[in-house]
Amino acid sequence: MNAIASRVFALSGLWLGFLCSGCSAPPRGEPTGRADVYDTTPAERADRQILPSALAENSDQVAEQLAADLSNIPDMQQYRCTVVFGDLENKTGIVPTSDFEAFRQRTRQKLMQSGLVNNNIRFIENRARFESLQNKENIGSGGTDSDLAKAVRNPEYTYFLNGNMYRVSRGSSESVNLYEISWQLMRASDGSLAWSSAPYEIKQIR
Amino acid sequence: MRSVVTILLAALLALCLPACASAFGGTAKSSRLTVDDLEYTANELADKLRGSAFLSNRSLQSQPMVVTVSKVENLSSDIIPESEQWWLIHRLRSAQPVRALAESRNLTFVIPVERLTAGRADGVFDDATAQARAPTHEMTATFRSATRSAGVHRTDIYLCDLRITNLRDATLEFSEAVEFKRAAVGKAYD
Repeated sequence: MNAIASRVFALSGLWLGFLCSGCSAPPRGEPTGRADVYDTTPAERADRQILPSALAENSDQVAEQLAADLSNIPDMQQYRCTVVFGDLENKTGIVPTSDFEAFRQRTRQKLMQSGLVNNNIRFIENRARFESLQNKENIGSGGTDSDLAKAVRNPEYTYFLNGNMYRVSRGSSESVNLYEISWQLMRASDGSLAWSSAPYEIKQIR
Repeated sequence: MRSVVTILLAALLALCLPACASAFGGTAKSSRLTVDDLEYTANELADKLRGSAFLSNRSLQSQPMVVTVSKVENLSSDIIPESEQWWLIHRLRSAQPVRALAESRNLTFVIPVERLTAGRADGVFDDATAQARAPTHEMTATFRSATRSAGVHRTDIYLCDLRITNLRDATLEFSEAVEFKRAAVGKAYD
């Protein structure tokens, strides 16, 4: 019994030592209260909606995959193609489309960091926002009807980035949720799919 | 003896637990954007703009770029008053490193069209000012958020992306983002 007690005291002393060593650390200042997007909070863990860290992970994967697959898309080897945000088909039922829109922006931002992607792809503002901007600035060159804007939006070399989000749910109070997200580049001229991301799946059990 | 050991271990565990609880801001009561968050966002975006390939690829010999600014678009669940939306974009535009770099990259910032219109209405600016302004690019940012909640827990994820758009053909020439979360615990009436 004495042996057990002394072992426990030794372990406790070691533990206290670890704790006390933290006290001698240099001051870190006030915590900001901000957490990393990849961290998972108690609210996210208990929510039925898809984890934001999963959306961030999907965004990273899509950007990496598209950058890696560029050499397999013939059009993008010959011309600097135009990519514009297209349609989001959100069939999850509980996740707002604005969540997917936010992380789609993030994907674009990640893609624009790559020199290789920038050499092959040009991202443009959507038609409504561009026309509103031109009207506001009174540029008066015809908005999207100007020659320059038409050339950039040539349907043969313009692609829409579309997304699909699905959810399969089971269990009492939907305790099990399987999410699937996929993205495609669709040619504007004929609706053909030039590229598809590998489907991203995540099963969340509450 | 066993009970003493158990108590000792429990006390040690209790000492360790507060460290875990502080991982997401401890007992923060709100997940709203703070002043510090807005300052952090502006500073981070200014740093990213300063270090961007978009600016570093330019020189004094580059084609002149005239950039107007628009207030930050708020698509988040939080309330950002219009004055703060303007403050954020002005802070970015007037950040010292950005201004210094802009001068050496043949990039000029001009006043927003809203201010020009107001000035003309007040008779401060004349027509010549309006004609000479001629922006070629627009700089703006958008705040978005996603909310997750369960019981007394709530988390808001904020994403703010800064963009510079070519006004002639709608091409996005620069895009960078800042992202973070705020977590809170408790009821609204606590």
